[in-house]
Amino acid sequence: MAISNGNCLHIMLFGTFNENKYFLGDYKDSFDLIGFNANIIAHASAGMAAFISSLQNKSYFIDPQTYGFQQPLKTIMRKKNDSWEIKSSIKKLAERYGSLIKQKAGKSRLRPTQLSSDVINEVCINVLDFEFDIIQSSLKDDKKEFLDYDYTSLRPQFLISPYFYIEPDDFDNEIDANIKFCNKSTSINKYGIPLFAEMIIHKDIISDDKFVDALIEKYKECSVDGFLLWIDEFSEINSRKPFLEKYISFLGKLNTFGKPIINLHGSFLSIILSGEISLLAGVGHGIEYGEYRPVVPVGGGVPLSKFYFPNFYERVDYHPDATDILLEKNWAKNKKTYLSKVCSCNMCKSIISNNVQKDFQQYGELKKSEKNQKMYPTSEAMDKSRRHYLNTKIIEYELCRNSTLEDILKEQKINKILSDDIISHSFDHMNRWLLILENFKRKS
Amino acid sequence: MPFQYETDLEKAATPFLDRILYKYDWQVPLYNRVIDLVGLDFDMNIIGVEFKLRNWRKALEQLQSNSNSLDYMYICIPKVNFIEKIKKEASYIGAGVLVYDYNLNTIIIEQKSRKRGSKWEPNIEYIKDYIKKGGKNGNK
Repeated sequence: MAISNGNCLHIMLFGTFNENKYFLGDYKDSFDLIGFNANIIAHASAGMAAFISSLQNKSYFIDPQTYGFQQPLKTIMRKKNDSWEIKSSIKKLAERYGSLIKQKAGKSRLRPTQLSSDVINEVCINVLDFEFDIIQSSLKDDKKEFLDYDYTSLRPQFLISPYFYIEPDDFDNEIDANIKFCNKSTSINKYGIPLFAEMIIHKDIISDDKFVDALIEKYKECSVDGFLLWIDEFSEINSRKPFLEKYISFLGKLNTFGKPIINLHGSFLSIILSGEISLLAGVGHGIEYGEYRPVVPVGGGVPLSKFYFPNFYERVDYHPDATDILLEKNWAKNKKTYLSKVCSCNMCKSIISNNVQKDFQQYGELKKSEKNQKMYPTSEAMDKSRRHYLNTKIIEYELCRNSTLEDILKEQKINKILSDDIISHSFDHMNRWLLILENFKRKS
Repeated sequence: MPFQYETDLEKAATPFLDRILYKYDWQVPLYNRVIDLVGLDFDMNIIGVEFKLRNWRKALEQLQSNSNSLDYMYICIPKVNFIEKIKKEASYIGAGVLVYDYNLNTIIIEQKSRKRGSKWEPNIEYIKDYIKKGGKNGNK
């Protein structure tokens, strides 16, 4: 599979085992590339190998997640019987990555200044070996026999060099370590597979031209084959116009290397940037989440039912926002109105009849938990909502892959006007995106 | 003597609620939220009330977030000097204002709620069903 900017690749990030059905079922052929986190692979390598083999030649990559060992210890540990212990998946990963990481994991944070050239060498060898080999070597022999293709096709699409999270406080050391990782990985990459550099970046870096220029200058030294980008907690929906402009400016500078760039967590704006504009090769997201993501995970809380509004490219709370919008716009009047004004994806077509309110409710059904008496979305509602989301995302990628920027802008203008008079929920990003894209078009 | 807890205000409002509502229940769950009180009046309209001793703006926000499931909605607060300001802000979202008068020892309707037009019918059905079944506490 060719990866180059402008390809508008649909990248699906695998989250948990109960998402398997979306990768194997109806949506099997809808994604170009699947991203796995190394910890989930390390945790259940045989199961994941069987899963990946059943995807049949689907391209994938493994994020080595080396930044995890740099993060506050709490993020890689869990509390058990009043004492903290390292999560088993992280422990398995640390054992694969080499002596220093194994020694520090769960005891103290890994700092970029602690890396001697020997350690860098060892980490690079182990990380690349893990990414290249883990799926092939974990596939049980009985499964290999039944594969009607060469099992070497289970190799990842590309390898990713070890990396640190780059934030303003320790910028120089983190960048230096990343460059050393990249250079070493390039020199030892004998696998015949492209090597990508992953950049996880704090938002303050993107906002500051001095940091951006220094980063670009440093990465000039690397001869990697492409970049994976994850800007910490960067929501294209919630970010103000100046930050979005900085993001686009950063992509422009990174593009001077002539290498493909994948945004691991992006919304519709990034999908547009991966089309005719060609600032990105592709954009990733999870099954109904992951369009933006914080580096330090924020866990807990009761999950809310949400509904993705295709016209406005945003997931909104089912109650009251989604239902209020339908009432306000009178889009729940009848089936015809709903399908023409809200969504006509296969999921919506199958559940919406003439009692739109009652049928739409299937996206928002809740059930009281016996455990804590709180209300949770039912598994049926979650499944329907996810399928509606995936159907809509597939359409978004197809649109950006096959349309000119001018055509996309025309549609954006119509949707922006549609969103302008909605009281129940503010879709301000529609105006910001439009202004930015029009400005981009004018300049180019 | 001023109320110390919201439950004191709720208790003090009970005789008034008994008079105007056919059936009601406290702490009615709706999605991930809870409405302090939801009742049916004698015309089977759904009335929602949020009780607050201090943060009345929060009460208005809570009402607004559940407004598509109610015919009428009220905040209920102890008597304050700046009642006109509260009434004005409540009227923006169509909410009414109930005030507890310490001297008269009763609830006074300071401002009537406007009746909500379009509502989300599945929520209406759910609330009516919840209250008719006696809800959590089976009040009245």
